[in-house]
Amino acid sequence: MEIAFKFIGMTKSLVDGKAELTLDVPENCTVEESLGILGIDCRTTKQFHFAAVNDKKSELERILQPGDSVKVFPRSFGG
Amino acid sequence: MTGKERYKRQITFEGIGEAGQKKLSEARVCIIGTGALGTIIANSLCRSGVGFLRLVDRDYIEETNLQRQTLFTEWDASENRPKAIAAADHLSKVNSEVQIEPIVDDANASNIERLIKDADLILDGVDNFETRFLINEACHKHKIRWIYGGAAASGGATMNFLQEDDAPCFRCLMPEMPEPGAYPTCNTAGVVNPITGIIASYETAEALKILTGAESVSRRYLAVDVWDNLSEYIDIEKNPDCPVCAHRRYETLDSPFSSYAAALCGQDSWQIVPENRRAADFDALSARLGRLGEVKTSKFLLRFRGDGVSFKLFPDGRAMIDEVKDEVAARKIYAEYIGQ
Repeated sequence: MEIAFKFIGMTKSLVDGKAELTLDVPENCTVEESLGILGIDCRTTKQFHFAAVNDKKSELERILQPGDSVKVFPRSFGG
Repeated sequence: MTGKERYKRQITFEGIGEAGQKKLSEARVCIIGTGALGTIIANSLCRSGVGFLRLVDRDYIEETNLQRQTLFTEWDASENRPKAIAAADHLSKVNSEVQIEPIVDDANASNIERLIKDADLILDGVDNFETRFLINEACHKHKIRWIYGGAAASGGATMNFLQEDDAPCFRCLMPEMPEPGAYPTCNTAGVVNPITGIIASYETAEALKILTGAESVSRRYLAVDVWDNLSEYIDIEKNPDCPVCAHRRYETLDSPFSSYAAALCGQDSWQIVPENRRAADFDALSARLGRLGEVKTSKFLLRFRGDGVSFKLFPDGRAMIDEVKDEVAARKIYAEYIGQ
């Protein structure tokens, strides 16, 4: 199934600077697994803060559904 | 200059009006961190007529701050003036009706409750997650609303934490504190000033809404990136197992305070805070350090440079050690040059 991804700010560097892309992922794929397909380890990647599915912050274990939109956010740290 | 005339334009705005202006004049706000975000927030809230502003910052002004920290001048940087003092001096000339209390100190577990307890609202201008975890816990404990804001590179984010029963806290947004070095820093990511201006302005707008009781106060997470032309609003749910807002466990706040070191965002510097804070004897230190290098003192700090070592020492014993790679090197310099 096709899932749309959007990478916010510094997280673009995780996917060669692409702000948006579409990925074909297997059935029952979790948010974490889908990002793993893109080479992103959510647990250790500095730029990764959280992922939102359909504009709601999501657990990494959430199973994606057809038509879902995933947005990946960086940590906003500076002041 | 009469208050009514000064605030005429915002009183005319129906969202504020006479009643809202009165609430602002009676409000007490604490801004923690007076860097890029904090100076813009303080400037706007002071001009808006918020009655009391407490400005807390541990840092001093450097040339690299001037690109985005709007209340400071070249003279402030050349004198390495403390940010809280310089901001208060500037703002007192902007609006003498506002009571401004500058505090040159590190916000930490030993003082955070004292800093926030008598405020109606806390605004985040800090550059690290350790302090945000502390603010979150102290504000939850004392039921004080606070506004998170962070910015780096061309992006930033902000969210209100309103202490409502079913609302998330910062720990719901960020369940684990990132390890030092586990996120990019201002040094590595840089920052452009439109993003700090935008995030600070959103924080200010939310502050005005909260303080005047507006119904349109945001309950969502907002991320903005000015280089990629985007604004994203995201819903954050309360974590039913959150240690802070579900279980009232204040792990950061309740951890015993001891001497600690912290890397300073955007600088090759480490802050050393001694466990026993006591007045540093600038005269005695000047005499001793003067044999090793150049010493300059003011009532705010002692600056030393020489022998490949550079640091600033504050009257309470806190020090910023410059151009060191890690905590070990910073502590070594503190011990050798300043003493235990």
